[in-house]
Amino acid sequence: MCFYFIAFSKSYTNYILTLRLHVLFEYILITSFLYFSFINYKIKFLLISLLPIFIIYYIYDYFKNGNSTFGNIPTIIEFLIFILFIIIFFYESMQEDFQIVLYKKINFWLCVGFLFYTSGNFFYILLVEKFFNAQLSVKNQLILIYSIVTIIKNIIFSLSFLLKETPQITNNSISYAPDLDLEPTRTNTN
Amino acid sequence: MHLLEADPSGISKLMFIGTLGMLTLAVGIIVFVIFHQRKVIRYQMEMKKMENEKQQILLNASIRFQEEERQRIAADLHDDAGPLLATARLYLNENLVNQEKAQQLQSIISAKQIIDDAILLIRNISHSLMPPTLKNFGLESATTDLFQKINGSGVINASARFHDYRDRLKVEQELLVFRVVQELVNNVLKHSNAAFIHLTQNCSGNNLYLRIHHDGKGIVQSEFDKLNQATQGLGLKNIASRVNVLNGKIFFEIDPSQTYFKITLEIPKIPIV
Repeated sequence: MCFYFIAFSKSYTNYILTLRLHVLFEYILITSFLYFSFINYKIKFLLISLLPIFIIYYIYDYFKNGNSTFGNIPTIIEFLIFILFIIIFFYESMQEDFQIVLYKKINFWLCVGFLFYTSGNFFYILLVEKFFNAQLSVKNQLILIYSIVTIIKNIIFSLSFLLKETPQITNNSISYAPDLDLEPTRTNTN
Repeated sequence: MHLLEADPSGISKLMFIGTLGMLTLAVGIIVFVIFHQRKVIRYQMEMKKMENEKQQILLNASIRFQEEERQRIAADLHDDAGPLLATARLYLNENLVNQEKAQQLQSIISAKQIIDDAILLIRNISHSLMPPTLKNFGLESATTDLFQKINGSGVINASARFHDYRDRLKVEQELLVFRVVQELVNNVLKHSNAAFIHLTQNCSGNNLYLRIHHDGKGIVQSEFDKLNQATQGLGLKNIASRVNVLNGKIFFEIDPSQTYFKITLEIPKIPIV
């Protein structure tokens, strides 16, 4: 937030640049979090492969549009990617032979927080540029929606750190030692 | 598109409805995930309850088995050793001193013979309780001995091979493992009509593995679980309860070639101190 205020006070260019850096930082942070949350290597690979593609696209968008926009289209893409991956994470967690109940996991509630944040702000980011010239009362409504969503997200994050992950169910599969089978019948090759 | 080109209040309405829709969708997904998990947990709780009931059946079976074992020993002592010693006592009564020397000698020989029989009988009872080979030489010798005896009968081709049994297990553990093997072998001999039975032993990490192969009529894991739940039949329940005491696992399966059955035991090792 301090970073924002410093940027605000300097100029509009700095403000746009800070917003863009914020989106980039946010993308890298959430990608890292999701990367360590997933078990499936294919999904991990897909997630990490999207990172350079997104960064390249984001830089391209900056050079294309300059300071005229803060880059709401890349942000919308970012949100869509996260919504998709969070749903995949839920699906993967439901399939897993779990030791800890899903809703007692910190990662689950962090994902819930991110899902709230991305889905709640999706239309705000999509339409924000339409409101540049809107009345102050309309702008206040937007800020209210954004603030409510952000506060809910922060509450979920805070509560998630209070959780204690206690194992529930133990695995009961048998693991075999090698060399227990009948010896194969030796055939004389001579 | 019409709404987007309209005034800011129209866009504001669109944004409000869109945000509400997205949030509802997110809440829906989260509620679905949580309820699904609760359903799975409820199912697992039921499974756990069933498992506890199964444990209870096993415990009851184990107690019943102990009682039956005691009754058998009592019957052996009462019906066999008792009459033998009573007969020996008859030979060695007070009138013996008044008898002729030849008759005295005959009585003493008879009494001695009966006492020898009683000693043998008691030794057999004692051996059935704790095999001396197992106590003195360990699981490998006792099992090999058991399989050699079975093989010697000529009814079935039996063999045992221990790959890695350098460190003996704790005596109590060895006895339990031996009893499980004995019970499994008995079952194979009684019910399977097999032509061969082969035991292999190996170790991996801190676990001891034993696998019995036979080519007779066998059972697979699902049948074992089903028979274990049944109220009748002590043998398999005893196996399960002993494996439980050992903190081990037992697995019944058929070979992919469908030619023989496999029974695998996994026992965590407790070495002798």
